[in-house]
Amino acid sequence: MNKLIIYIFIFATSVVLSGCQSNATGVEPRVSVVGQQKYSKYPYEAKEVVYSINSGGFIEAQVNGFNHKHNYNKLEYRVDWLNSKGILVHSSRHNQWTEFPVFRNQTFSFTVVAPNPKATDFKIYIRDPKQNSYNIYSTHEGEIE
Amino acid sequence: MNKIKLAMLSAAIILSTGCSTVATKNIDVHNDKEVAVRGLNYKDFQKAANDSVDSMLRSGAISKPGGGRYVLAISDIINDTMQRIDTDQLVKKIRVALLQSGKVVVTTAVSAKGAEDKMSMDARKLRGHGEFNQKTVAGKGQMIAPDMSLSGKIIQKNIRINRSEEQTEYYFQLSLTDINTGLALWEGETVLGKRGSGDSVSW
Repeated sequence: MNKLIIYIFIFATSVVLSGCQSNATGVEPRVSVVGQQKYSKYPYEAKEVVYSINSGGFIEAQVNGFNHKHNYNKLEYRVDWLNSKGILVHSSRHNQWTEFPVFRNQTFSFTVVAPNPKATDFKIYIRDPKQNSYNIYSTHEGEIE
Repeated sequence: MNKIKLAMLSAAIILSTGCSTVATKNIDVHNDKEVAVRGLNYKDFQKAANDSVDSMLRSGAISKPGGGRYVLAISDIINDTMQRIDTDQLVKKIRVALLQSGKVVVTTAVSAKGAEDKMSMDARKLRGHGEFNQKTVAGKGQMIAPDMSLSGKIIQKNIRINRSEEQTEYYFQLSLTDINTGLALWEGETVLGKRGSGDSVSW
């Protein structure tokens, strides 16, 4: 009887854990949609990032995503560019959020270019500026519209 | 009776001055919430500069074949708006970004308005001066002439939409010219539009 309980416990635990894993693997690691991890029904989804190095040696990356919302909106992104050691490549112009449009129930995309050839990796943040709670600087949680 | 009037007047003055007080706050430039203004503010210059630099980096125009860096001179950036703008608000951001790209270096010895830093030439007047070690004085033929020049124009256009609304459009136009051939290697334009009350002013 005890063994049966243990087997059921192990089975249930593995099912729960595998469920969590499947959610995590769907997220593009270089893109963080601020608020998405906390709310499973977050309407903006970053599906993939494609990137290459152009003739000048700069990384050019394109983020492709989908707006599940039935509204047009303007989202914002910002990029942290990193060198081979993971240190931020300083560029004052990348400290700001940049607007881009997302149309109702449509795919969206935007492209970014590295500030110099020393940038070998990047991390992109996307946020809805209307949702203060999804501000990565905020310590307060809020509600989805 | 007069005392009561005086007291009421004093109270009114205190209240009115109290109401007009607006606390001064620092702007968080990394996370500034949108406050639209009819004139040009720092966010508009940031956007115009970022769009231009991104476009230049993508185009390959600033990547010298065989490596090395281009020398860039700043030509005329014309302010054709109704505002008093120091065009360096735009140009400096572009210069910093281009320098950080590792592909371009800007000369301060030559520009459309003369040398930006006159010291490069003034220091050469020390040649033959008995008080200076001549080995430390800048030598002849050491300055590097520019390969490219950056020129442009900021244009403002006001359009009356109806009796109460007005639209202001700003065009940031920039060109990067190969000085040797006179050909524009890169050109870009960023357009910003603002709409507001016709009573508000954009200068």
